[in-house]
Amino acid sequence: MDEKGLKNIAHALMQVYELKEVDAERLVKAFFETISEGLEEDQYVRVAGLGTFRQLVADNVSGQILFTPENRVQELVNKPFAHFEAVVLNESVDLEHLNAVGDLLASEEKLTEKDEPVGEEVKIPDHAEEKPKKTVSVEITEHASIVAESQELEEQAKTVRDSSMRIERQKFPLTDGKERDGRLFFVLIVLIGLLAIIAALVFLLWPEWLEQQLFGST
Amino acid sequence: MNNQLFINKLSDKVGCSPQEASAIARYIAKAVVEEWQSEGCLCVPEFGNFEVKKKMECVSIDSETRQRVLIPPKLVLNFKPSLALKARMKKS
Repeated sequence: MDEKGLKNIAHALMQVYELKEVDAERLVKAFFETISEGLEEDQYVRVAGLGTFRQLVADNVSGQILFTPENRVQELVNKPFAHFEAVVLNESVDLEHLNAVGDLLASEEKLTEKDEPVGEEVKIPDHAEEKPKKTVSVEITEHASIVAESQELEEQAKTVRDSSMRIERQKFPLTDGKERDGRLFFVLIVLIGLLAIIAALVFLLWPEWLEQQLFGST
Repeated sequence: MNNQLFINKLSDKVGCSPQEASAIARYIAKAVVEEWQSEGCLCVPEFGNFEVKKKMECVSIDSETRQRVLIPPKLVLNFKPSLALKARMKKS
């Protein structure tokens, strides 16, 4: 079992009260041992600054212990989320689609959880254990929507990339050398033809001007 | 067992005055809470595991007014007694 947390506490105690490490660890162990003994004797133990440990005495839950932290302790633990407040939802707010995604994710999580090894500890069937199953987390849903959105964006980017590649190919066709030479030859033929037509027209329409240009005025 | 009886028992066990035991208990409690805050869990051999769990946000519906309220997420503390402690409790 991991005793790192206990060692941290013992270390802090050691520094404050200038104790040996062994003595500090003994004090911490005695603290929890006293709680255990108190539970055996009285079924409940109240520790100032921590909370109340209560032994459940009903037949079906015999041996189980309920710990209720003090309000101040609960506030300290919940400090990261303390700024959140309950919000009244308008009628127009629709959460059905969020729940649907949440259910899907929950089922996926269940599938992955199956692979995980089962711990030694037996679970207490209290309400805190059941609630996460019942209430679909909006956070998970938000995460899912973000993932879906990113996938969608990726797909869009892919299609844009493909189409741009296609356009590029149309602009600069990746043809081999033979085809390119054929086109150049065709263009040259057309140009030569045009020049020949122009020359023929000049010869037919202005033969005197042509003669003058070629042989000079005599 | 209230806090005073707990302190008396601890002082007997450790062999110090109740005042000293009270100060030590208070300091240990404070260190335990700090451990919960920083690490999110604390394993105590032969006693049990303390674990900070995130309780997800949920929508609560008032049965009379049908008004929906979004309850924010919350960090709650869970305690799972060890098998050894459970066995001790069953014996007693």
